[in-house]
This record gives sequence, structure tokens and C-alpha cells, in this order.
Amino acid sequence: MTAGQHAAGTLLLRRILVGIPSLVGVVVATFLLTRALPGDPAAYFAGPAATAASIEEIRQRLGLDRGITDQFILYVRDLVRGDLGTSLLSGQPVLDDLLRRLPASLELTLLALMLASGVGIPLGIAAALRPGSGIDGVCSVLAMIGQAVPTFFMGLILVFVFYYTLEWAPAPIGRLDIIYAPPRALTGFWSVDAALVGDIDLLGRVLAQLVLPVVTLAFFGLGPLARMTRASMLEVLASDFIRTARAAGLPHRMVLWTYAFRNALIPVLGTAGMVFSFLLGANVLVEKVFGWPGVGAYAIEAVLASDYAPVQGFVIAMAMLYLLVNLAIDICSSIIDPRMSFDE
Amino acid sequence: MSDGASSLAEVADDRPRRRYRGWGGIALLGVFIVLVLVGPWVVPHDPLAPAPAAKLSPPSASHVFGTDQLGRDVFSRVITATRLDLGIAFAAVSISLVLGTALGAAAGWAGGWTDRIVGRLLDTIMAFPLFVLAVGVAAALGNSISSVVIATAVVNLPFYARQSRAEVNRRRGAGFVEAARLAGTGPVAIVALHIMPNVAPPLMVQSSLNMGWAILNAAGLSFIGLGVRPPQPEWGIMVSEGAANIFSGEWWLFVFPGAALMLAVLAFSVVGDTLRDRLDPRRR
Repeated sequence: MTAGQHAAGTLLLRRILVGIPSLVGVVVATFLLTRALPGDPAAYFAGPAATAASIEEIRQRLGLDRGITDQFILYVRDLVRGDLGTSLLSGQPVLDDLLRRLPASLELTLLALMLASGVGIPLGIAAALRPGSGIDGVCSVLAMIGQAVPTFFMGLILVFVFYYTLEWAPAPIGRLDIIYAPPRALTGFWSVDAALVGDIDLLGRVLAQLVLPVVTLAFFGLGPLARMTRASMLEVLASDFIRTARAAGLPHRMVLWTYAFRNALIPVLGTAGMVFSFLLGANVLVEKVFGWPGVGAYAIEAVLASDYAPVQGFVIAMAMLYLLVNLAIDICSSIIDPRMSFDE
Repeated sequence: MSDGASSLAEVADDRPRRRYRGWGGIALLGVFIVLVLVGPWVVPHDPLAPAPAAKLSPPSASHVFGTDQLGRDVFSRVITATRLDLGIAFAAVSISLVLGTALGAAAGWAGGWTDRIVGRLLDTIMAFPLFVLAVGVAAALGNSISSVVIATAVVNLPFYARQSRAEVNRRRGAGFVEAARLAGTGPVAIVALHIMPNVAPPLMVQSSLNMGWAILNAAGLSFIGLGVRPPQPEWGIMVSEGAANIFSGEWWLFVFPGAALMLAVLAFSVVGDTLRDRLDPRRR
């Protein structure tokens, strides 16, 4: 192992260690949430149709007849085993349900994040290059409206305009009309799967279903990315090293992309992580609007049926996902900005 | 974790054309406040009274926003809902402002273990996608309006606590604090009477910016069926109920409550931005 690889390994390890307290916090918080249920948690987990005997059985299985410390140990043990309980609605283990539905949600969230970055970052750069111009105004208004329009309202407007009125978009009934067979599951991302098996028709249909929900989510995530890019670019462009680079006669393009953009990107990456977390939350609403069979829709069904295990599993899964994304962003930041690895 | 969550509202954003926007926001906010105060008494129809004969009629002179599936007047329902929607958001923001500021002040003043424990608590809240945590908290507390308020307050707590912690910590050793201490003032009185007045302006800005977010959060929870229950008029529920009618073209059921939500959020964020510009001399 070279010294460089060794340093990278240490860095990765350190980043993971930094995440551990958050992980512990998440586990403790979800445990407390479970115990904060009004009334009897066993009755809650057993669901509305439970008998006294089944409630008692669940009480014993969950260890609710024991002390709080024992209960916590049992809870952690189950979590480590991947046992998130059983959904009363589906009759399946919650973990299986979540894993089956996660690709649908992730496909939506990741595509939306890509679209929001693909539009928001260039828009922010354009605005920073000409502050006060028309493009700057567009950037500012888009960012403000994107944050003010409730995502579910945005989704419904798009459905009304593009499905009902113009008939351009397919019906908002999930990932694919049920008359078509989904692609063979390779990645679980149907757009990728359809492309991999080379079925162009199917890919077109899958993408058509994706367009409106992805645009809805991306519109919501656009604002923070555009604003942060603009602010960060403005700050970098005003800094001494850019002035020096310009004075040294470096080509305009090189100054802009190699020097300014790379430095401006670091805070934008952090914002992208934050936007990802917003999108995970907004997903819950967008999935309801578009009949999307993801984890958010799963959680809503469970909440309304007082089926608590899936809700809890969903909250934990989303927190874990967010922690992982933050880890990835920390690593990306230290690749973009080598200084960061020596800071600590 | 990356410490970016509060930057949604704080991302540096100094641009022209803000003056008109600021006045527009204040006027809009004024309209909403009037509706909160007198709304239920000025509406043309009873927001709860069904009129089967007039159901699903499009906007007209007698029903400017049309009527819903039960023939209730959408305009009256949207206006009446203002009080509930803004009330929930205001209650939630007040709770997180008071609790968050107190927690942050305690952490910033005491330092040491208190600081570490409070810091951990806040980090834990921030480790969840906030709307997801709000769904979890609201579900755990049971399906009621007060759980929506508490859920919204919990997820907002860190914004206030962090700011208050930083401001108190920064002033802990200031001259006027030393003077108060020498005069025999107790720590609680020093924080409450001497430090807090200095911390109040940024926290006010935070509250205004936060109101919009709280409105969205609460409406989102009721949109998925948590909290407010029909037939009570509330914007999130009205949008949710109107969603089914999109497929038969009755757009007025979801458009008007949705637009009300959007305008309320816009009003608070514009006013928040304007306040921030006024209070922060660097941005003037």
C-alpha cells in the first residue's frame, strides 16, 4: 500500500467514525419515538384488529414487560439483525418491504437531484457572472418560488396541465401502466434496467412516467442549489487568487472553470447533501400525488392504518440513507479540496 | 455531518430589486393577518354548510372560487382556513423559538457537558430528513392537531438552539456581562436580561423565515392525512381532497387552497429576507 492510499484509507475511516455518534443518536431517537406512543405500544404494534391475547404476545415479543434498558438492548439487537418488525398491512417483514420499494424512491430522488443540479448550478454560475442582470433575476425568482410552492401542489398542477389538459404526460399511476410488464430487475431502477436490456419502447414509457414527479421534486430542490452556487461563485470570483490568475493573463475559461468553479463547488456539495435530505422528505408527498410505489407511499399507508412498525422502519431507513449520503459528500469534498484532509 | 441545514434560509443572497419585493411581502402578510383576525366573520357562506344542489360548480359571481363535492363554498373555506393554518405554524414556531433559545442559551452559557449533551441532541434531530422525522413524530404522538404542532416544533428546534448558543457563547465574556456579574446579577438574569436583548433580532429574522417552512411542513402533514380532519377547512386537506377531482377537470378545488398556501409562504419568506437585510448592516 502506498502512502497516498494509506492516507486515503485513514481519511475514510475517520469520516466513518465521525458519523457514528449520529448513528447512535438516530437509534436512540427512534427507540424513544417508539416508546413515546400514547397508550400501549404493544396495542399499537398489534394494530387495530388485535385481541387481548395477541397484544400480550407482542408485548412479550417486544420485551415491553421488561425494564427500559433491557428493552433498548433488545431493540438494538433486532436492528443489527435487520429485524424491523412485520407490517400488518402487507404481512411481510418491514425490511423486505422497504428494500423492495426503495429503488422506486431512489430512482425518483436521484434523478430529481441530478436535474436540480443540472439546472440550478449553471443558473447560479450565470447569475454570479452577471449580478443584477436578467438571468440573475430569473435565478432569484425561481429559487424563491421553488421554495414557496408546496411540492404536492406543484405535482398536482403539473398533472392537471400536462395530463388532464394537454394530454402530453401519461396518467399519474406509478412507475408504469399495469398493462406493461416491468423490465427484468437488475438494478431496480427501471429506467436503467430498460436501457440495459435494450428495450427502447419500455425505456420511453418508464421515462414518461418519471418526468412529472422528477420535475416536481427538482423544482423544489433547485432554489438552494442555485442560490448557494451564486453566492459561492461570487465570493470566489472576488478573491485574491482569481485576481492574481487574471493578472497573470491566464485564459478566461481556465480562470473560470479550473480555478473559480472548482473552489466554488465545495459549499455547493454540502448544499446538495441538504437538498437530498429535503427531497427524501418531499418524496413522501410526491409519491402520494403520483401513486408512486416507493417507501414514502408505504409509510403513509402505514401511518393512516396505525401500523407502526413500517413507519419506524421507514424513519430509520431514511436517516441511515442520509448519513451515508453525508459520508459520500465528505469524501467527495476532500477529493475536490485536498486541503480538507489535513485540516483535522 | 455537513452543517448546512440552516443555510436554506441563510444562503448569502444580496441582490437588487428587493425594496419593492419587501413592501409587497409586507402588504401580503398584512392581508393574511387581517384574515386570521376577522376571516370567519367576513366570509359570504358557511364554510361547513353543504349545498348538494350547487355541488362542484365552477367559479362564478356567487361562489368566486366555486364549490366542492358537497356544495360548500371554496372561497369561504379557504378564508376560514387561514386562521388554522397560520395558527398551527405560529404555535409551532413559538414553541421552537422559546425552547430552542432556552436550550441554546443554557448550552452556550454553561459550556462543558451541558453544551455537549445539547449539541448531541441537536445533531440527532438534524441527522433525519426533517419532514421524515416530522412524519415519525406526528405518527408516534397520535393523529391530532397538537401532534402536528409538536412535530413541526421539534424539527425546527435546532435552528433556534444553534443560533442562540452561538450568540450567547460569543457574549459570555463581554464587558457588559462582566459588569453585570460584578454587580451581583445571577446567571439566569444575566442571560435573560443582558444577553437576550442582543440575541433577539437575529432570532426574530429566523422566526419569520421559519414560519413559511412551518406552514409547508404542517400542510404537508395534513395533506398525507395527519392532524387536521375533515370537514374542518385547512389548506393541505383541501388540496388533498381536491386532488381526486383533477381527473374530472374540477381544478378550482385544489388550485385555490394551494395558491393560498404558496402566497402565505411567500409573504413570510419575503418579510424575513427584508427584516434580515434591515437588521444586518453588512447586507444593507
